[in-house]
Amino acid sequence: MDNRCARVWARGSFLFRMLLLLTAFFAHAVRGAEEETAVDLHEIFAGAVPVNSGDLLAMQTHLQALSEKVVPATVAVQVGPAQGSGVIISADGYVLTAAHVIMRPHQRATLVLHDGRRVAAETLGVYRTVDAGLMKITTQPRELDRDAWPYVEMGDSQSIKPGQWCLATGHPGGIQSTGEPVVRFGRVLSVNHESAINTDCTLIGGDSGGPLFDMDGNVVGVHSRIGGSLTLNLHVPVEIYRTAWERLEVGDAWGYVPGNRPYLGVQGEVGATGAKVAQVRPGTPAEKAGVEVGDVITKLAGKEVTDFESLKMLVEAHEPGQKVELVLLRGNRRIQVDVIIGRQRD
Amino acid sequence: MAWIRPWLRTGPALLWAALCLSAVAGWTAEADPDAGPSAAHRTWLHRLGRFRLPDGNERNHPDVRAAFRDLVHNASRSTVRILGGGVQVALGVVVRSDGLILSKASELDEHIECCLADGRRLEGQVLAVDAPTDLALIKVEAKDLVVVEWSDADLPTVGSLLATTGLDNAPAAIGVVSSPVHAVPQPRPVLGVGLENSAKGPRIDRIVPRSPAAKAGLQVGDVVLRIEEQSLSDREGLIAAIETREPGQQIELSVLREQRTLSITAVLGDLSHIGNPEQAELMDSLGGPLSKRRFGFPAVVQHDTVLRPRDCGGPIVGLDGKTVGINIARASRVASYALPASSVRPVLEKLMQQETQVAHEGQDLAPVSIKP
Repeated sequence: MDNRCARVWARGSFLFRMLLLLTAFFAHAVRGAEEETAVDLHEIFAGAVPVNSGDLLAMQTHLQALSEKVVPATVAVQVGPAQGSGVIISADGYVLTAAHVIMRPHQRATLVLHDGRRVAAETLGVYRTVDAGLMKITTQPRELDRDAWPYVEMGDSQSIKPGQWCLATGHPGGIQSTGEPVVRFGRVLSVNHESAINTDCTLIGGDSGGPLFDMDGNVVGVHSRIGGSLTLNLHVPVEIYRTAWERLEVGDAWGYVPGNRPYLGVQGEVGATGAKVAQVRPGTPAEKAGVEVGDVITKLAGKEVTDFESLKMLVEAHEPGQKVELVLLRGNRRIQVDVIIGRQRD
Repeated sequence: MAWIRPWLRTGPALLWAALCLSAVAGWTAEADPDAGPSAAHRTWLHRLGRFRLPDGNERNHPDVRAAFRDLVHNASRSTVRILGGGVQVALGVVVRSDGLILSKASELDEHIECCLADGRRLEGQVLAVDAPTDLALIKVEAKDLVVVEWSDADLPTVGSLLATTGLDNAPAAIGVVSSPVHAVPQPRPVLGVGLENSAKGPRIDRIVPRSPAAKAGLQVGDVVLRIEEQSLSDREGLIAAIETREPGQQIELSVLREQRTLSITAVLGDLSHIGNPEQAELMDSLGGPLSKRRFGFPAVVQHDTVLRPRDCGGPIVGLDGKTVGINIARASRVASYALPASSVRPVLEKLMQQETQVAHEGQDLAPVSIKP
């Protein structure tokens, strides 16, 4: 049933127009002619302002229906000690969230659905620079007597404009005791397609990873961070997920939060064959682990290192503080050392 | 002229936070226990964030609120601004035409004045208080006031628009219903110690890091002899004594440490924040000013209207212009609470009965607490 709902809703624009007609009709029927809508609902949601109670009633009817639609696709996320939110965007259970909620790929996560039921999930890719993360539900829908997971569509964040109205859901303050996410309504204040959408849908700890919806009920952003002002609520544009989808889906971890760049502290010749260490900087994780000039790094955390470029990518796939195994060739000897990935505050 | 103003220069609040909750620390919890998360966050946010501040597009813009004018007209006339020491401390709502007003009890000073919609400014007197709902019944010497019209409709569903009235034509603020009606439990107080019984009394054998006990300077081995004036003989006694108090409350402990008796002051914490009190404080600090009393309500409509604590106590109306409840707390950055009309009305009747009885018995109209 939920699945069918989701599918029907997926044909957003048609139904949206239907709904608009219905709301307009409803407004007429209930309020009478003198409270006719002054502005087209479509125009209001695209950035105009309601002017009378007819407009408000039309907005409300749409908002109530929209809330009912998007709430079932919103989930609470628990990964280790961290609690956040997420949104299901496919019938087979792909879930968008924030990178800082899931931290790294291939971990077990628990999701709480809107009706309080729990399902298992695996974390997939994280693109840390922009705070985008992906998960997949591993529980089979039939275990909960479903054909598919309730989901919403990924929308178009490229066309988002300041003034546009939007809806946010999530689990502020941690997982809500009923599982039912909390709804907020606001407007887009500014858009930076490379980093974040700023709205006045207020967010707080626990909302991270939850969805921002346009008025068609499609996901246009994912909650990421806030500022001290109540009008600084930032959401990762959904287009970033679409662009990075292939890497997210296979469970890549890349990018870093500035000031939090993972590093080893060795330098080598870019373009040379093999990752031969030309310099070990003092006080770095590499020096502490006993890496010496002339060593050739052949493996990091079990993965083959072919040159410095591949070494750089492997280091970036980890986080500062993580302990990994390095395999070195020193002359003819094969040496294994543990190194703790450091944090470069750039 | 740059049309994009870096947010760094636009506001006093530079504190940014990622929005993940963690029982341990920030977002590098497991991987990097040695480093505080906030420095890294801030750098990140500095680089990413060049955001224009609102330029008239915000939800609560006067142009948007103006659309609510007609429908808040009646409720505004029943709205009262309550002053303490000459400044607004709360809003109130007229519930009887001969000068009875409901408001939020915990925001009221001893001496209050009530500004009515018709411009009158009158001295008010608190007649009775209902502790569970934090409602106070106030009396002013006036007649023919406009009484609030309560909504008989079902409770507003999630996504319904709500307007908080003030004394102006347009509402003070607007918002939507965020979740179905629910109770808000009382937070449980915590000191953050492990206790064992000793011959002299409850002895501390463990201190939770960063807990109220740690901050107060309590140490393992301390024996707690008294809490305020109450002597303690065992750990059960101390636990019971703490349970009767509230998070945020300051307590005076008399402690035996190496044959010396010390007096130690601690501020009780919230049990649900014991793992990471700093994060809880950070989140609270990002919410703007919050109501002191914002927990422990039997039933509330949670909505996302941005209110100041002094905007609580007055009517909140639905799109039919009728009052669906009374704003009772600014609870967090994302939530305000309203007591639904259906819970306010029985409390109001109880308070009015109390007032009548007191008046008949010829006693002073001193504040009377009604227990649940």
